[in-house]
Amino acid sequence: MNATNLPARRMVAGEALQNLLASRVPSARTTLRPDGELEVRVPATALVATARLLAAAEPLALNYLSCVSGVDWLERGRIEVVYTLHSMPDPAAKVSLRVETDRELSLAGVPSLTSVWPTAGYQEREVFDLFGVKFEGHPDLRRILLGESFVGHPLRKDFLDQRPPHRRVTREDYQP
Amino acid sequence: MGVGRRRGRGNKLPRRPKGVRLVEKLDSHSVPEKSPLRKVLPGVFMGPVRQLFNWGRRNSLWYMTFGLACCAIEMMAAAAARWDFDRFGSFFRASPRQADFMFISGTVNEKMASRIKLLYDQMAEPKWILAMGACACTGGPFTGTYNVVPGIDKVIPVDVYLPGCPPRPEALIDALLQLQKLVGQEGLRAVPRAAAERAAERAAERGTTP
Repeated sequence: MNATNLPARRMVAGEALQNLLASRVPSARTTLRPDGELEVRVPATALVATARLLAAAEPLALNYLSCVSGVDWLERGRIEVVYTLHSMPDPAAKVSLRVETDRELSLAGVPSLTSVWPTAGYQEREVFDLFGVKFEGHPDLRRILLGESFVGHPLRKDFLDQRPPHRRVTREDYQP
Repeated sequence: MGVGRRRGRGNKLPRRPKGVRLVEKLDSHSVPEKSPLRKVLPGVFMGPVRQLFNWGRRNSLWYMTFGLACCAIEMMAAAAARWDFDRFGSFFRASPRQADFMFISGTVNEKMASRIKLLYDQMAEPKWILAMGACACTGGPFTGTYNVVPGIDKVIPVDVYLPGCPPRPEALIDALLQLQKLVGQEGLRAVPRAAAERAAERAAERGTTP
């Protein structure tokens, strides 16, 4: 676990995972970045299978999901969901698993990965809350940060704040 | 204060030595110097009931144990040994029923606003609100974002605004003294009848006491 070797070891781990994916998931497009992080782009149909493969890979099991985030590509009409993965057996391995979906609110949906990493539960709720992406198979897909009555998904780039203007309340006109 | 200075001499009032004033001044509303009352009531304060209430209220302002954000850290520091709010008769109460006022110490978002309103409604009259820090006053750096209320005065009435990001405990002490000044000018305020009825109705819907 020598920290000075980390970039080199990250490259080695990235290449090993890249080879594994090339042989097992033909639809995945992989890019090994200069810092050793492996970017994996898969179609939504192959997402769960890829996730299972990575989570159980030997000897570099990517068994730690540290972050799920969303990216709104307004011009392309797409929303991307990014799963950031680490490996407890070898901290050098780092993968970002990316999947794209339609931006249209009624169509935006990807399969949930809660069956692979249970911790995805809360984080997918957050992406649903802020981007409006539906995760099929999620056990409890509700808003998590915003109130139940909130209208819209505020991290979408075309979101407009439509709250009525706030007025100052005084003792005289306060309504309990 | 307010009773004869000497004790232990039975019911007989002590003889007044020369040069001792009969009545101590509570403040400018006390019995005037030349009033005949001064001669018949030695050692007794005279004044409106309102004054007595306000004297008691402003010197024992208890506040809700309630923190929202980084400002709450300064509030805790102000309450702890170094700045010691207890000196002013103010300390944390863990129930809105026992609290006289509440620090709104931090950013208020839309989801929290309804909870703060509920806490405010649960506090007994008379009650005061002290908006602490830029966020509680105006929304601060988060004004204009999608989920932040631009100042708690858009939800409940505020009595003292304290700017700063966050304010130092010394500033908090000053705000408390301002609030004491305000409480000292309070009348015997009654809850407006309509408001009290509405609060009772809402409580009945929720199945709690108002």
